[in-house]
Amino acid sequence: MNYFFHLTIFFCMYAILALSLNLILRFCGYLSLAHSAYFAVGAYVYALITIGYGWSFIPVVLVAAALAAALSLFLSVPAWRLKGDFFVMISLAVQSLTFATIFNWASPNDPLGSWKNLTNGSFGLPGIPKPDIFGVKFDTVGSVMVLALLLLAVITLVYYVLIKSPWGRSLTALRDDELAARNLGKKTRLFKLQTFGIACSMAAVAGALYASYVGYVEPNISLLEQSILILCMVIIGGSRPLIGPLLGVGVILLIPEVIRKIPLPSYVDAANLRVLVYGLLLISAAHFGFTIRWTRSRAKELS
Amino acid sequence: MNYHSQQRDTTTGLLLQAAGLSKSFGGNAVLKNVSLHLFEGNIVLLRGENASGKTTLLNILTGNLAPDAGTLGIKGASGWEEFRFPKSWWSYLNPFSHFTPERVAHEGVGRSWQDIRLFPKLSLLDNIAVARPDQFGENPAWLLLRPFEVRRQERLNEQEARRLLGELNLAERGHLLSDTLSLGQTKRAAIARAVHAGANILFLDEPLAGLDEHGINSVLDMIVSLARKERITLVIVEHLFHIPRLLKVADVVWTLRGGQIFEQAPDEVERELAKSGLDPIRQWIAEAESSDYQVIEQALPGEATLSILRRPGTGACILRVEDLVVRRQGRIIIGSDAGGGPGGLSFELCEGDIAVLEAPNGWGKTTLLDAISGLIPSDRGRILFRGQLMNGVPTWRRAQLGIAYLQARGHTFARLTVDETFQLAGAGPVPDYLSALADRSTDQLSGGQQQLVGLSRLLSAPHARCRLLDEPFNMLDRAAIERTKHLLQPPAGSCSLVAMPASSPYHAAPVSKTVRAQVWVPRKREDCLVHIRSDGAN
Repeated sequence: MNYFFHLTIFFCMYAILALSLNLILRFCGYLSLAHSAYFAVGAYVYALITIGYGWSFIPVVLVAAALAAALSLFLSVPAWRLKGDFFVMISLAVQSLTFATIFNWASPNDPLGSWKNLTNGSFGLPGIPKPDIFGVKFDTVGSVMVLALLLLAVITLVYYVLIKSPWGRSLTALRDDELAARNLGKKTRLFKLQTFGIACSMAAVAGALYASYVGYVEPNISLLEQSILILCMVIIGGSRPLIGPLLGVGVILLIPEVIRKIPLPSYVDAANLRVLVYGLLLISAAHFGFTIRWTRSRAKELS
Repeated sequence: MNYHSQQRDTTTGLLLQAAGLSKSFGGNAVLKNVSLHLFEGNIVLLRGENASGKTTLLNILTGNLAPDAGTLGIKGASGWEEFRFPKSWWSYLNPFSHFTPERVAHEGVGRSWQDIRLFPKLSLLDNIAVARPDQFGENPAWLLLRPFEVRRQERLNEQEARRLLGELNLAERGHLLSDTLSLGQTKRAAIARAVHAGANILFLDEPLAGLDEHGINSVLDMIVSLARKERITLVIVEHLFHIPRLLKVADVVWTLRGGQIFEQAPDEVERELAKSGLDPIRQWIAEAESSDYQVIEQALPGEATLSILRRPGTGACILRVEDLVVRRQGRIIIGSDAGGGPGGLSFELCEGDIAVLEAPNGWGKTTLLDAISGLIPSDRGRILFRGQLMNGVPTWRRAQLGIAYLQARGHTFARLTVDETFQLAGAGPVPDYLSALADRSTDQLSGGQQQLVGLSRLLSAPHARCRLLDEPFNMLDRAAIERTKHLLQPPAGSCSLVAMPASSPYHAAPVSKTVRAQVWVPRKREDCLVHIRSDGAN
């Protein structure tokens, strides 16, 4: 049962990441490879503040979200000028720089969390306390799962309200034709700031959840591979705004479980097979336009 | 009916003023010291030859392009707003740049686009509703903290958008995605969207281009009603063919020549145009009529006409279309008969023929030309080119065999130079009138120049036997048409098929020479079926 709770917590965490990346990808039209960087920012901020100052869950999450939103300017301001391939390079740069910062902001002799040794480099930050809201301690896996589900519910609600609103409509217009939207008076640069800010702060919330559950953070959580994994989930899930990312997360998380159950010959390594399957799914999604759900408009087009 | 306004009030009512605007592209001075004044409630026609700088001026006045020098003043809701160029160095440090399309739109300047640019992922109602300025719902903080006010404002916004659509007679179609409308309807919807965005000054970029008679009338009615009832000031950029229609409606004409603006009264321009004689194409057709051409007119379902200008003693048959039926998304586009069933379209072009297909918008002229050139498959029927069956033959092969196709605007090789485009097409050397442009890359040319290059390239290609032209004179000015009209004459052994919107000024069939005999009647349905069965696969 604990394993099921564990899976659910990870589902919630990745779902938050996928929903927020979907905002950037499908509502703003930018491919960002830097999502794991903001996830790591959230995780590290949570770790440092709870280890150092022992704050409770909600204020730390708010601080992490605010910091991530501020750091999202590194993506949103270039987005004013650059599109497409060039923006991907910028996001790659942000991701690499974040990883390098986390990895290197360490010096062996100084205490943890001080300015000389903020992240403790490749040793990571162990011993992160479990979440604590108004004195209620979430120390069992089951309770963390409940917290995770609550967080997912709140984030999904916020996401849904945003995309169904005039703000979401103007974002769709921006994505369809930015020049036409600007000539109608839409402040597209402000929309980009807002979208990246909201998406990156959601990623930080997911990071805080991860840090509080796993209890240990290290620089590898901000690797490019993580960003690409989240991107996979968003792409494979399809273009439906709410169900798409969630489905993508479900599929990606279930594949290793399914592979585990299939009897494989001894020379096939399950871990590598998992990565192979992800790759194939991504290629088919991109090349054949294959996505989990057959959207209604495509079905009509072919009839 | 003339809509000339009364005497212009020169003191108040000044909405937009530009002085000393200059712009050069790579050493080429397009605008030199342009100054203009725009008064409230006027309808202004902006005209000029190809590459005179109309699009550049339009982009500057709507905030899309910064001029090299000059000032631009606009009277917005909060008073007079002035933009000076060149911008001082410290204004470049300010990331919130001053002269942007959204800033200029905030002052009340709106525009429509040549390629319409409705948002494809939004429904028609949403396309209009999204334009409303100052929506609370566009602020995420308001959305999450004060949702009820947001919802109230949004409801009012939707009501207003529905009302606007109702005025366009599109109210019941509010939820359809915008690409199920006719061209005239989409153009009017795009104008309504700009009006809903709060525009006091509306710049219309070729609003009548590509429209048939019905579409032109509906857009003109809308333009006049906007100016008279809503007191919106309009600046309309248009090309040669539609200028006579607009002269009846405009108050002032701005002519761009040599990088400068000359203000004229519409009467003056009418006299000027009358003096320069018939349109070059009409002249050419008159010449054809007086020579030994015979005109065969074939009426097609859907109010279309195919007129074939043929010399007697005609040569071999080059293109033969038999019972062609083309479907798109299940609907029959080409080949429907009077009853709506698949009768099939048939016609034949011989050596030396010039065929003009005139049809209203949405009839399927482009679909027909696409099918003959092989870009889309035909559902039924045969296409024979010089006796060879073309069904199933890919486009590149058809092009090699001699079917040359000039598509309607938008299909150019942006980064190839004019010289390279001609080389790629095997069209021989660049003609003299284009030699000045030979080294310029295609994306640096103006719209009309690109069209001229495409048309010249196709008409100079030596190996083309059948030339398909989709609205070839669309953006050309008088001078360009003069230079290319003689190329319409197909060289020995080839034929041309030209598609035009219905009732364009280039109506091809002069009445006196019309021959009503030899009208091709679609075969009976049974014949079609027998034909297909014995034919095998299509």
